[in-house]
Amino acid sequence: MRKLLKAHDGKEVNTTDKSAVPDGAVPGYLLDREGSNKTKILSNMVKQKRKEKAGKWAVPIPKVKPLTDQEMYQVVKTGKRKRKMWKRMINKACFVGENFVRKPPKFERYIRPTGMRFTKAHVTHPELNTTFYLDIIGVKKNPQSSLYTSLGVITKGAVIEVNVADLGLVTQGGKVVWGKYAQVTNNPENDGCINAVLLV
Amino acid sequence: MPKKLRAKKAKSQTPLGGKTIHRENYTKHHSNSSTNPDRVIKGRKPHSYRSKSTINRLNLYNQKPDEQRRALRPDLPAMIEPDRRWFGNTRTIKQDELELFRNEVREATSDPYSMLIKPNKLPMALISEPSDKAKRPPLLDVESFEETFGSKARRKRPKLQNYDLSAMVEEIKNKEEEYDEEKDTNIVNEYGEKGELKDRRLEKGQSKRIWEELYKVLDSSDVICQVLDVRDPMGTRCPHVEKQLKKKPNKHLFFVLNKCDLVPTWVTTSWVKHLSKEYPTIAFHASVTNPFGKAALIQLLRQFDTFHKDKKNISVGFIGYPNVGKSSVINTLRSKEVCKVAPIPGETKVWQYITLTKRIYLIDCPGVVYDVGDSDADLVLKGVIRPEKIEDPSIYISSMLPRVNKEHLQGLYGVQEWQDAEDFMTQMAQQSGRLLKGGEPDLNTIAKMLLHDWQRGKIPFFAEPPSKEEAALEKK
Repeated sequence: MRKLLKAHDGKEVNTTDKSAVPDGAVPGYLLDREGSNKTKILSNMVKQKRKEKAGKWAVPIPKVKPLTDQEMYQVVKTGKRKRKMWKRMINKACFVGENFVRKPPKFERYIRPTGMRFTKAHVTHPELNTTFYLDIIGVKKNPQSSLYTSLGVITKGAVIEVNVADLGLVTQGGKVVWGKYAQVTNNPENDGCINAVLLV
Repeated sequence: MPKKLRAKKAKSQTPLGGKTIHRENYTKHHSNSSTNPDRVIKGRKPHSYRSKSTINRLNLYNQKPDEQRRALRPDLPAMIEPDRRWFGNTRTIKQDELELFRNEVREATSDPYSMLIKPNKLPMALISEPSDKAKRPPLLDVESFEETFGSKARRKRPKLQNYDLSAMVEEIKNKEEEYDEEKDTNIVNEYGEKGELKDRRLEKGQSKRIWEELYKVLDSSDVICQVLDVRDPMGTRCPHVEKQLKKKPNKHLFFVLNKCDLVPTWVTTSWVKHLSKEYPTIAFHASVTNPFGKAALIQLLRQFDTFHKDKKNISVGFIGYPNVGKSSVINTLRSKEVCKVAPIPGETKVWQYITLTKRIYLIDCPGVVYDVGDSDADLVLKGVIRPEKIEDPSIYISSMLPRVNKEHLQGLYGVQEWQDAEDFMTQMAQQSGRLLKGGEPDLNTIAKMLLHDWQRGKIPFFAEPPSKEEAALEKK
């Protein structure tokens, strides 16, 4: 095989000198065609449309500054001689479920302090320009990492699920809506409260 | 395992911030070392030695974080991709289903022996009927739509307590009548200090450190056991904690009436009867060799355990007043001295986890005192402070003597008749020869002795159970 490749490399290949042809030159049989390329327009249109569509379903804060792990949590030293360093204390606001109970110390890697736990959020309805104080049902996505999503960490840009039963929303089929997503717009760990925009 | 799957799994397992282990070229190690999670010991059943997860956990304990990597900021911004699903409804419910839920929740809440497990997953705001207290006037009457939205919105107007002068005058009058100068703790006294001068030693079990310890225990336990002294159950209850726990319906509270051996049986039974109306109550006598009520307590813990079958393990927190025997109850359950115990208050300093079975953990907590306005004498007689640390113990004897049956004192100390506490102590001092220079009776030592005997249960006494009054009420 190697021999064969070497043989091919050695072959003389006729190549046209591209620099000899001026830019934009068209062969004679194509001179009567229109200058613009329809396929290009079409593909551009498709691209544009896709972008619009994406814009339509984009969340209010699509990008946030990535956080380092140091900002996210601190390492807790444990053990009799304080030599063990496997525990982490989350420095950000958290949502833990209603039935949450801390694990026994030897199984608990991530500590979520009680002071940083939140159960409610100030959610603004963008069309009504009104803010409601709603219960949080869960954390759907934290853009920083999937780990933080599973830990229920709430930082700026996180998508949380809120209980909108108080808003009295109804679907077209007549069902009562009580769960909707909202995106966090502030830094809860700095403000001591969670502000969010309802995604409607 | 197929190679494709393996690589994916390894990627999802990488811990954030810790040292990442690239396991794409992951090969099984065949060594029998105790730190190898993949080890297989031939000739032994897989559960007879450490499981894979246990070895992984033990290895985790020795991992050190990579500080450089922790400080590294990712290049790309954290993104949330546009998606139609963000804007849809996540939870909806039909009207007839709602009606069904409403009926069932009504039944469940009226029944004291059933509970809602996951109220958060239900639209409780739609289901539950507001209680009379929580009922507010309809929102539209208070703030009409026109006043709230649009050009005539007046939402910024501050909410006042009263909107007219006469109501305000009325309220001020009421407040003036209610004010009691003796209860005002903000008045500065002649020593330039606010509030009463109180002996700091009488604030045992109220420090911030101990309350922090208590809150850790409450946060980490599924079941909370409040240990009470059967001689004075109402005095050793902590209403503050009970009130807090009512807000968290998923935490179960029950009572253990400890020191049953120190009171007659009828007292214990009537207290159990009385307290069972509020929370499950068990009579108990903590002793490693000769316990009482141990089987009942273990049975109760088993029941809680089966209730939480979905969990890997449950934790039972033991809380209560100092010196009621929380650690002793734990020792009794384990039939072994696992917690340090002493007949003096404040022996347990920090929380401690004890394994009862693989699925049940017990948490020991230092004794906590909630200040409900008890007098100093009450605190001393509840056994919050060690007698040797009390500055002037003889003053508390006068409030101790009326609580004890006279015959018991006569039998214990051989003093037949006395007029008051001082007389009693003088006679005791003369009998036992505890005299100071010039034949003066050493009242402080005698008082300390008495308080010692009181705290250790040598002097029999008990708070009158409420059964008599209740029985009378029930007859009516």
